Amino acid sequence: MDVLISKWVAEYGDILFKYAISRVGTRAEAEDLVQDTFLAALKSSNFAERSAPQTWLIGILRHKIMDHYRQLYREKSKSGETRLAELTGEGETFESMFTEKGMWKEPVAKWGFTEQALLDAEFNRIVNACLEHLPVQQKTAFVFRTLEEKSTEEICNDFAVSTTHLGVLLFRARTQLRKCLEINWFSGRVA
Amino acid sequence: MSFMISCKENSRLVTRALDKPLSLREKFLTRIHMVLCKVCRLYAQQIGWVDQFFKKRFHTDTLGDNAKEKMIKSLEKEMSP
Repeated sequence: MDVLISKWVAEYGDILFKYAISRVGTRAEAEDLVQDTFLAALKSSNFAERSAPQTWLIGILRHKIMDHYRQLYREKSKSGETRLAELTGEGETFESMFTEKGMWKEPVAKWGFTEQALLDAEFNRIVNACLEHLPVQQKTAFVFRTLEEKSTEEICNDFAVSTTHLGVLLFRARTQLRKCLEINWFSGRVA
Repeated sequence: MSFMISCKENSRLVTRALDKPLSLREKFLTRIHMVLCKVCRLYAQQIGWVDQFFKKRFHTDTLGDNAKEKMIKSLEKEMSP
């Protein structure tokens, strides 16, 4: 058993960690999820899977990530913060971006974007930080829609949220992320 | 029948299109709007990019040797009879 543990951590630790941290953002959370994944795998009696573990382990990890977000999402809903946030406008709404006549309040500037930016460490740091700063519910919606590539129906089922509410969350998340990237990266770069 | 939708409506539709395809009529309306409205063209481009940035981003962090050793010890402890 100990040999198996060392082998798995050495071979799959980094892969699982990279997957986890791209979904949860903090090192501590990612490490916990990876450890929980290994533990669940070791305790499983599914010996057949053990011969080609990578896909199987990632599958377990994805479940753990889902559970992690479900808990955060539930805690957030319970605390009543959602209500308050919606009243005080946590994140942009259409109303705040447009005039009464439906025209842009602020101009949209052209972004100087090249594919090179995707390889830039600082750009990636900013991208990661922008996601980290999203409110929990918006982050959850965005992570599962865009990174885990779940359908809107699946997300509505998994998190017991209405289609309308999910739409609002996704819109807010995307708008906030866009703004965050504009402020922290693109505004300094002339197109 | 008016073919001109507002910038607000256009933004709503192009953002929603990321999750659910637009109807033919909606596609038509947004296309017309964006032929005429550069600002909304830019917005649509950028909001699409945002998704791409997050899908393509990378983390340079790895688990690291210290974390790995700690993890191995914890797992061995939890799995010992």
